Amino acid sequence: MNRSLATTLAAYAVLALLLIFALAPMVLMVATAFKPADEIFQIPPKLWPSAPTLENFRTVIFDSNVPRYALNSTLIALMTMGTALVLGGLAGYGFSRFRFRGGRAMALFMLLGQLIPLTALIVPFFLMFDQLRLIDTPVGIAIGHLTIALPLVTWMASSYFDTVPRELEEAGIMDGCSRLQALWKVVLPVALPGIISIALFAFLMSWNEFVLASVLTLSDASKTLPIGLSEFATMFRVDWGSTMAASTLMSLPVVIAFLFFQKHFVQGLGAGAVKG
Amino acid sequence: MTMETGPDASGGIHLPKRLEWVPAVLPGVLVAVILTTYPSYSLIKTSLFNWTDDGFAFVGLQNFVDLMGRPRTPLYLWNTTIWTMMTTLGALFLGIVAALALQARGVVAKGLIRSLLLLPWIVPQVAAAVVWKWFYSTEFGMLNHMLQSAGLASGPINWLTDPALALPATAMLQIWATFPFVMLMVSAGLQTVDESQLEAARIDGASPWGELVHVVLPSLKGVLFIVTLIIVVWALNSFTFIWLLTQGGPAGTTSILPIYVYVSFRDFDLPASAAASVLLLAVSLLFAAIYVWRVAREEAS
Repeated sequence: MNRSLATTLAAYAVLALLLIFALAPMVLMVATAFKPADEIFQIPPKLWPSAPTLENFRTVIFDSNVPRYALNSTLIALMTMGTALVLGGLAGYGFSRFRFRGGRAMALFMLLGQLIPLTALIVPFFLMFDQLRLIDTPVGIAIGHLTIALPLVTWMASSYFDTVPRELEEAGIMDGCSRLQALWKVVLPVALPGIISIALFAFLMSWNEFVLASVLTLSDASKTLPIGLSEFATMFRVDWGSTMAASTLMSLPVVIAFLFFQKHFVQGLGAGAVKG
Repeated sequence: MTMETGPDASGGIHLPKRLEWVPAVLPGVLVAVILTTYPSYSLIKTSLFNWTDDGFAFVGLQNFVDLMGRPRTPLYLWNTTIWTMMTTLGALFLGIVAALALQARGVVAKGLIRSLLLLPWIVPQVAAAVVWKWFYSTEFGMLNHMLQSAGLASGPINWLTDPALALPATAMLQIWATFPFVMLMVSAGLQTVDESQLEAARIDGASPWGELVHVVLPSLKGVLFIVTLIIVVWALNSFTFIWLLTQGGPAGTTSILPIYVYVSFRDFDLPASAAASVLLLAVSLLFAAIYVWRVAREEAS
């Protein structure tokens, strides 16, 4: 057998194994979500439901607080995203366009901020928000999420604006626009796909975050979807069907958004994380 | 034309050129400074106080001494080290293998395969954790069923309640969720491998293994260094997976530092929680600082 064919076959074998590893849990999630209760606790277990049902989804949507949590999560993620996008987008634009004293140090500080561990900051955030009366409020959680979203958006935006020719806004400025107007009218329309993917990333970061939200939420007023789902899954007798249905519903928008924007997403992530 | 501050014809304001960066950069940087440095400062302060006969008072480093003196602390530090090493090495190995396989000649549908392999990293951690818990379930779990059907296990295995298995079992989930990131970064790094060097190696009669060891991996050194730092920081601060799978049990065998921070906080043991947090923050920032230093150096060159 010739060498390149052997390499190709080996690569396929490796990829097949990795695909099984990567996707099996998600297949199990969706398959279980469609199973009636008696099939879930069947021994031996079967992967595919023999009598698929929407009952678990009905329970989650109509008989649980999941919709309420989804609403909280959406609100918090939108606040995080909007603030991170305005502050971080502008800062990223500034880092990309202007050279100034201290600029490099500030950019590197933002880079360090990307890796700041929220887990280590739950104590001070709780104490601060307790004083500010922000415990158990969506605004409080959004502020917490901004801590990780802002540095990341800044770096992603900065490396993204590096790829947008500066002649664009310079032409606009020549025509009498202020820089802000040029940014708004000339640069933004061109940069939109990249900005959408950055916004999406900030949204997802908040949508998925668990540890800080679990410390800052006490009641349904601010509980996010990850917290609600974790309560589903740690009850004394776990309703696996509903838990998997809720997990599926929570993952679905994320996966769809990812597949839709993945090209920009992947570029932006690469730039944000390993901008050399 | 001179650039002077003042309203112009269009109603906007022109700043002098050397100050143009201020309105763009400063608000974001200031907010980031407040959000990261103030909590860090407040955390360090909290870690130096404790309840004494005089109320909540300054006790110096006593909380750290107490933390180190607790019987379980060596176990937790050991767990944190083992967990970080297992998950980092596992994710690096799978990520590199995946990137190399995707790079191989003759593989079709690379884009689709790559998207599918990225999904574990994209799916919300809580959703991933609950499905893995279900997967590991002793009685009804798919994993035990598969192993027993294949004759690889004689009876059901207690993946999450056996002290010897719980840490590797939870580490597998962290590896599952982070290897796609390594794959992504290594794939990008592979695009920069010098084709002429590969050609030269082939002419010299190098085997595919030789090419990998002598040409490809050395040229990935920079990317791998940076990726390793990032996933080490992630591993050190991993909370969600372990918490939802085992809550740090059985008998503390999956308790790593973040679990300890959370549990002591929940038990109102603020001094212990704050001291452990400072430790966690310091170690994380050490790795993060090396990362920043490395990125800065590469930018400069």
